[in-house]
Amino acid sequence: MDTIEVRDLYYRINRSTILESISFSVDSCELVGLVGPNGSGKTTLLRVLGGIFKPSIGTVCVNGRNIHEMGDRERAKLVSYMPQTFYGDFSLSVRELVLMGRYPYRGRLERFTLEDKEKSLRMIEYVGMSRLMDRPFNKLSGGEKQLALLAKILSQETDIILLDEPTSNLDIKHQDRIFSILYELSREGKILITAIHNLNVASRYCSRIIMLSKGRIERDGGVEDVIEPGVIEKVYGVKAVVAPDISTGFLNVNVMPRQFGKRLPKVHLIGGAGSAINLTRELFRLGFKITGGIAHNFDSDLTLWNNLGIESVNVEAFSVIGEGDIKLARKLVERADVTVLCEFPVGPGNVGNLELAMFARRLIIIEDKNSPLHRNFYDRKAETLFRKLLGRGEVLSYEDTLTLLV
Amino acid sequence: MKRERAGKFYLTIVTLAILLCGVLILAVGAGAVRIAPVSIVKVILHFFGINFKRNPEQKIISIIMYVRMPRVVTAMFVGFSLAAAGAAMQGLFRNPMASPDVLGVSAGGSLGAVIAIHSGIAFLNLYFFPVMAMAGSMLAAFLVYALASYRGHTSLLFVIIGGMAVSSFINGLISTVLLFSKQWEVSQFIFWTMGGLGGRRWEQLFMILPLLLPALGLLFFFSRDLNLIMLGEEQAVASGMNVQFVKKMILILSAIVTGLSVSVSGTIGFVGLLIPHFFRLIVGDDYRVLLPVSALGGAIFLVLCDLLGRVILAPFEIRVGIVTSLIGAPYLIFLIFRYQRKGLVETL
Repeated sequence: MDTIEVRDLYYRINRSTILESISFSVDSCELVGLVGPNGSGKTTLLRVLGGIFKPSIGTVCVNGRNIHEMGDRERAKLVSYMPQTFYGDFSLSVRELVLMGRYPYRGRLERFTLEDKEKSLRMIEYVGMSRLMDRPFNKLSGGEKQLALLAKILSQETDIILLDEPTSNLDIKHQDRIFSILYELSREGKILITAIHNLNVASRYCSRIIMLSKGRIERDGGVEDVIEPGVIEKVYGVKAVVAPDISTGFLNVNVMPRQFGKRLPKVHLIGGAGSAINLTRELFRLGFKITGGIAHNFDSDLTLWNNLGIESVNVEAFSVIGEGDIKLARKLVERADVTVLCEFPVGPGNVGNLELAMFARRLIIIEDKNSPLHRNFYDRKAETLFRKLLGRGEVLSYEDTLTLLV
Repeated sequence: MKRERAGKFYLTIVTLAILLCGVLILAVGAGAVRIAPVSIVKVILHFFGINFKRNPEQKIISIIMYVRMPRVVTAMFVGFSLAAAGAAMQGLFRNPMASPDVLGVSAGGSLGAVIAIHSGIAFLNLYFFPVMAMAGSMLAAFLVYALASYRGHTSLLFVIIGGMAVSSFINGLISTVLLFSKQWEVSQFIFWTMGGLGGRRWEQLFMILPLLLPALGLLFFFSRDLNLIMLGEEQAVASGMNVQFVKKMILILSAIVTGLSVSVSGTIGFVGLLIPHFFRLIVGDDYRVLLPVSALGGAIFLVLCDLLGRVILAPFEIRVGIVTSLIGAPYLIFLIFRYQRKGLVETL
């Protein structure tokens, strides 16, 4: 079990303080994402951890030993560092480059041994670069360069691996490749600390996140504790939507759209089975004040409303919407300038939504040829109710609804 | 694959070594008195105590052993040293335009030598002369290094600008010193700015070899470090290199090698810039290969340039520094075009 412990670390250049009272410790098997806005000190922190910069105050200890009091070679056997900007215009082959990782293990008068060569070859294989082993570095693509460099870092055989934006310029395939490797390494007992500017990537791959802001640690913890709208707004100064991705379940971070100044009508959406999703997104983007309901729990409409922080009324999944629920939702409907009845099938469970629509101050009923859902009725009461509604509101297509509202 | 590459390396070295021998024999044989290659070999063997049925004439022996050989062998060592120093400096500064002459390190050597002669230090002890040249080179090298480095980062552009500044300042100082020394003629001025190999004697070469050879040898031990510096200083530190120590060592060794060369040949331009560059295009950036290959190439190049200078307008002699400039300047222009096409100008 290895540990890197940072204790009360400060880093100053001239009179400006770049890092301020940084303390944390990381154990084996952790993949730590270092996030924060540009200029928050991520790179500087990594450089201090990697022994490239000496801290002004404070210590960085690996297994209890201060890395800034070690010799360069000794330190390089414990900690490796992959910088972000990399001057890559030289014609060393991938093989030669990766062999450089063995530098701390051999004195100036020693040659690289067979063992060194074998170890570096194994790392080239591990990152999947065997095919390009003899290609000059400057003839590689960005992703291949990064993989080759990773192999170099790995052949250094350190317990602690620091990376600065390892995938910032890479396509998603190479990004996934690199992070899968990092994840695997963390499972093998290595300590990995990587700066990542993309919060989605950080929450996708890391086991723990340290959020830096102006040279201080703002939050340190699990993904859900750190990647959170409150923290993001405080650190980045933007309102963000944080929600698990529908297909993967990993947290997704998006900046909320800016609200328009113009007074827009308040809209209440009555949906179900995802029928209100498109309209919700569109109106939300345009800055409408939206309320929603009544929706069943776990309905995708409700999930979206919750994620966007839209006020809504909900009931248990598969339960029947009762009088009490309608009474609650009626307040929202009566407050709205316009109520939109989306196109969804009606059965005993949600017939209450049609009753709710009766209270609309102005009612729009969407009927759209292109809709994947059809307004079928599986309840006797429903059809009668709907005919009544037709008399009270106007029937419009999705496009026309938008035009009318905007 | 691995063995193949090592084989390729040795093949290149052996080819260059054979070429060098050929060029040496050619250079020794050419001149007012033409001497056939066989006689040259005979003379050398005879000189070292082997007797033949018909021993070579004493006149030929003198011409070869005391006039031509010292000159040609000096050219070889100077070319070898300047190209090695040039390759090392290009690696050290991660700058393809760095070389002892561009950075003013050669000029520093000249200044040291000129001061040594003018002040009379050189006549106190034979060794003070090359030592002063060496000191001058080191001073210039560290001046450029200090100018170009800021907070541990060496700027690629400021290396060149700093080098230009230092180099023209030192050349100005050399001219000033020479102007104020009455016993010096214009030809001396040319020697210290253009270089020359005429009239070299064994003693001059033997005096510097005990220091030159170990310095060159040590420089070669830093080729792995030069490779690592190519990855950037950050990466070098992270890989366990004591970058400050290594950079200073390479700088000192290059300066020693340059200063000693300058003390016997004056400043000869373009060898340190052109030769490593030329071979980089052929063998690539691996300094473990580039350094020895460039050094051998530099030796061949300078011996050839000196030969050209002697035979083209015979019986007049063109100084070797002029020949290297005439060949080097067009090559430099070619490099400029090449970099413009490759877009390297932006990165400088």
